[in-house]
Amino acid sequence: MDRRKIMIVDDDRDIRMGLNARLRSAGYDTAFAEDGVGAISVARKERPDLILLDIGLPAGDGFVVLERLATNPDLACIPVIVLSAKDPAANEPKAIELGAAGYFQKPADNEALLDAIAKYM
Amino acid sequence: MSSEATKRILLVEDNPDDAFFVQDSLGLHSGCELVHVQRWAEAEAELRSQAYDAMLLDLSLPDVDGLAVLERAIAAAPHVPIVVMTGLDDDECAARALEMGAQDYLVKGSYVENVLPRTIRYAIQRRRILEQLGETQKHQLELKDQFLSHVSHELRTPLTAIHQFVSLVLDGLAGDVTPQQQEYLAIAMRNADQLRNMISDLMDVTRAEAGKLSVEVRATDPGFVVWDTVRALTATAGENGVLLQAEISDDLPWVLADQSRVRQIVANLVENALKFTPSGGAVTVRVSPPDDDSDVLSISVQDTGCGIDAEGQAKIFDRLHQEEHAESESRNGLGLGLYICKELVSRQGGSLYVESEPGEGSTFGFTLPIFSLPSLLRPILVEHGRLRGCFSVIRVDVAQTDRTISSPLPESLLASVYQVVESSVLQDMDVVIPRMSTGDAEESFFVVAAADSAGMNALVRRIRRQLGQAEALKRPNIRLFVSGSVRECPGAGSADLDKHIDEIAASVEAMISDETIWRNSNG
Repeated sequence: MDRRKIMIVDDDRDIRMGLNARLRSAGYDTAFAEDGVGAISVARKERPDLILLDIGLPAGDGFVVLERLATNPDLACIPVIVLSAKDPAANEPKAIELGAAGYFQKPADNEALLDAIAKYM
Repeated sequence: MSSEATKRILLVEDNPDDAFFVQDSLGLHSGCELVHVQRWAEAEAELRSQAYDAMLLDLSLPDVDGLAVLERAIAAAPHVPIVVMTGLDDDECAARALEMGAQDYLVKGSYVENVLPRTIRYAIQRRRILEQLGETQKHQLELKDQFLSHVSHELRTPLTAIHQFVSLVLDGLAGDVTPQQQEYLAIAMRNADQLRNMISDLMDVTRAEAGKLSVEVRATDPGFVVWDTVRALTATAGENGVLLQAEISDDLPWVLADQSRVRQIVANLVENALKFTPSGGAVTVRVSPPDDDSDVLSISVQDTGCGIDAEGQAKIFDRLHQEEHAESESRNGLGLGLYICKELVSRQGGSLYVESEPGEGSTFGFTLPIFSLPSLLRPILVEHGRLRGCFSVIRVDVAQTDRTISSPLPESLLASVYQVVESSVLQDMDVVIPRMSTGDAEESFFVVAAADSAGMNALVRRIRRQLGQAEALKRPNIRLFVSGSVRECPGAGSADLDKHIDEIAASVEAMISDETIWRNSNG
């Protein structure tokens, strides 16, 4: 069976590295983007099976990315899990409204995140 | 007077001689426009018709006398500085007037020419300073809140990296781990978790002070929630050599509470108890059934630690209070935990308490209001003291369009549906049953309505329309379905209310948990 691919979108290098190690050991392939613009272009190129999306990004924050993904017919069906340092009370409803499947606040429990990834994929 | 714009002063004085004296004193100084009235009623009209910079108020007017007129003046013009004048040489009256908000006090006949303009000027300046102070305080509080939010947010990023990489090594994903490495890394992880909790607490306190601590109450199963929370903490207790157990009675009534906040409170109390209980001791969490005529249920956490003296008990729920005598291995954290618990408990309509004797351990407990379906339904089932003829039950189903997805529906989506349904019903005729979400891929909301068939159909149409128009719910992967059914009230027209209402509540509860009724009545 082909390995599924997850695109990691976060502007922090250490966090990208950490998520990469964790996801690969869980059996997933990975792709990366560091900002809002990159998120869309990499998604188009790599066609991931799921996207882990930070909100605080340069060149288009997570909300802008969600909007752009939703309006792109090729990308709109990719499930997105938001992984952000921002307070869920204020930001989760907005993320869900824009189409995110789930919201985790950093630092997230590894097991819970991997469970959610498996479920939404 | 100062060289600023002309000051408009309202003189409220019925004695012509006293009025003349004031006009004379002020008249000698430019920059002052004096308007003179003789009764409070006229003064009120003046204050409504134009802006005044200051008011000279006689306390013995013909239509309102004494400090009562000051009260009205402050209510009518809260931003206008007031100098009260009276012929009585009464210190108590003076002190009281200042307490009530007058800027200054003058005794008629005892002041010299210059005093009057100076007093007015100072009164205006003092008022201005007070208002600026208020603005500054508000602004500073906002800045503090924003700062704390920003700091909490920023701290999470490096903490996340630490959390990720320590867990990667601990889980053996960077090579084999020796037992000693395992031990050291577990310590690092425990500290990272404590840091995360401190950051969360900081945000909670900030939100509590800004009045923004969110609590959404639903009908909640307290036994399950407490059992589940304790289960997750058993490992931690074991590490400390403390026995953690739960004593949960059967047949506990449901409570009106916020499930996630109850978990937070219980976890906090248990973690505190563990901090103060030496190895070999025990922490017991109890959920007790309510006393016969009580409308609250009690959840308590008892430890076998060193106990708290009376002085400590009085201060223990204060913000930033940190108890000494903790077991040597633990730390104090930010000292915010119990303060946050107190806020969360009171927002759910309960109260937090502590019982303790030094040397005999402590029991921390809190109450939650019991959810009574009969009480909730009573107002809509009873009309003019008698039971109605019929009632309707409307059901709103929320599900994923793709039935193969088994993940739970997002809480925020469910909250949106709940809000829309609540806003579609009539407050005194319909009741939305505040059920806690089940974590399934499908959820249902129920409305009980004082409606017959026609009324029910109208309500169903209204709910469908509101749900269809809600922006937050326009998503292709979510399906919403609204249906309703009418039931007769057993004992309709009867005045023997309690028995029948209990019956109806029981049948509604059964309806809610029985799928088949609905499959047959889909409207």
